[in-house]
Amino acid sequence: MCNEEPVLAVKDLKTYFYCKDRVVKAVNGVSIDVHKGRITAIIGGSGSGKSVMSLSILNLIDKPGRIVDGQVLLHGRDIRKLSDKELRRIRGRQIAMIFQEPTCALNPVVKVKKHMYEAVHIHDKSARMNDLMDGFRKTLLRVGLSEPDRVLESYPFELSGGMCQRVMVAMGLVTNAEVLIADEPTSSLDLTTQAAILEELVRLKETGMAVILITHDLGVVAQTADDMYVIKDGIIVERGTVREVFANPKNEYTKFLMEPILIHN
Amino acid sequence: MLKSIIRKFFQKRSAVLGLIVALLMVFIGIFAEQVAPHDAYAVDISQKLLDPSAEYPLGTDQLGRCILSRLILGTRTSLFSAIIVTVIILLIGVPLGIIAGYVGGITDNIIMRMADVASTFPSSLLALAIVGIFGPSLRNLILVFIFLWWAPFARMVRGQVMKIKEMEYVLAAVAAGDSRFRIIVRHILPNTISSIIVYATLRIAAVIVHIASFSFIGLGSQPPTADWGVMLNDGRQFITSHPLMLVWPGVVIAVVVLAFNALGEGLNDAMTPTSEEGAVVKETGAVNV
Repeated sequence: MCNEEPVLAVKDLKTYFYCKDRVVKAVNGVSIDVHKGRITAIIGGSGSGKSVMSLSILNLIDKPGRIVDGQVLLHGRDIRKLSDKELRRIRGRQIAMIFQEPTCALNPVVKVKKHMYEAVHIHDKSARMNDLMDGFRKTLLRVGLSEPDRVLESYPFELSGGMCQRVMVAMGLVTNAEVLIADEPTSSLDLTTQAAILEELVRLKETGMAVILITHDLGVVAQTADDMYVIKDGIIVERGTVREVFANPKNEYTKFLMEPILIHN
Repeated sequence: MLKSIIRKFFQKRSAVLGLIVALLMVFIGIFAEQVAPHDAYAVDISQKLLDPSAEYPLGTDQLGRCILSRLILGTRTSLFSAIIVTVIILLIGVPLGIIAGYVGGITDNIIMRMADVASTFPSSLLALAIVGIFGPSLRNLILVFIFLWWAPFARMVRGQVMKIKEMEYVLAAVAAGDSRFRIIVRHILPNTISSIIVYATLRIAAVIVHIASFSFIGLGSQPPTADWGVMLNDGRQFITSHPLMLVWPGVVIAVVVLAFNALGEGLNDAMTPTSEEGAVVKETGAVNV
């Protein structure tokens, strides 16, 4: 893996959910390093804790969940120790996030152009909507939305789930965050669109952004990621560069996940 | 979306009619003195109990006052006090509902128990008690309605907020670094506003009827105030000889209440399809008068 100092380092993170009669250890001691200009993939099956981990990075866990232990170091600074106000400054500006549920993650009464504008506005208070529209159109075209003008003027509920997902990705693309967390950005898209979006993520990392790609799809990982972590039941069971892991998977679970691909090949 | 709401609204004839009547009444209320043909308080016993004529389009009452002018001036007391009550219960109920729904926990508990207390009083009974103690007046009546009716608003808004704050776009807004205040103003309020508007419109109709009925039994506005309820009461004594005196204020109350209900229903229908928000208003029993 990369030897450079990581932009974002998660150390021994533990997020538990305190239910009535038991404690669910969704994330149970996870450590990952995220590097500038690289795509770090987190792979795991449903319920493996990968989404909870990404929410924990931004301290977005709500009751009954709680981050019980661990550190989230952004440039060596533990963001769990920051005040609410300082944390708000990091959210969206330094670490941005693309959410998993595309139709729910866009406010139905806010137009798409406004959503995209706000993604930019967080970093750049001097940004004006009119100056940005051209860029928005191009970005929407790049994520495979062929009628950018109509989409920009639409409300999210007027778009399909797949379209909303691409809008979300487009929002991720126009932010200038240092770290972008993409939680299943391609889960409800056809393969062609998926390929286009992955290409955009690769382009994004080439500009120096650190991308965390959360997915259950090893095919997606093989195409785009540089480093990968396999997570199961809240624990990292395998880590390494994509090349290493694919060449020589050590853990049984990784092998199990890879089986379909191996058979296919 | 605003465009589609407006288009939908204007497709419904009763809603448009309601809007026209409501706006007309507000206009009449504002310019009551200019619109009224006579002084609503000018007593002229020689002209008492006249039938409708060119001079007095709706006739005169037992003191020779122009009924039309009194109805027009009554718009100010009846409709405007209803609007004032509604605006104030909005100003109290909406923020409390948002705080209760968004903050939750003990705060929610305190606010909702206060709402429970306010809801347990039967409004008519409490109004009777209050005017019994402090004397009958429109102001006391208004205070009673404000004291009681902020609660259903707060409860409705709280329910909506609790639903909306679980939506992923609120989480997305938190992830984007929005402050609590900004999330409430930008994400939660716009999503509840349609229910609030609908509910407020329907509430105005209910308040009009309540104020009129209390004035009718002599516990609200006091004679000689030009008030629809007071006029009904005046007409009572002449129900056999001059039934029109009773009919006019009755018709006006009915028309205004119908207009506001039609307006509220129309707004509800127009705003509903985008989400199921409108349904909440229906569940809360709307306002049946």
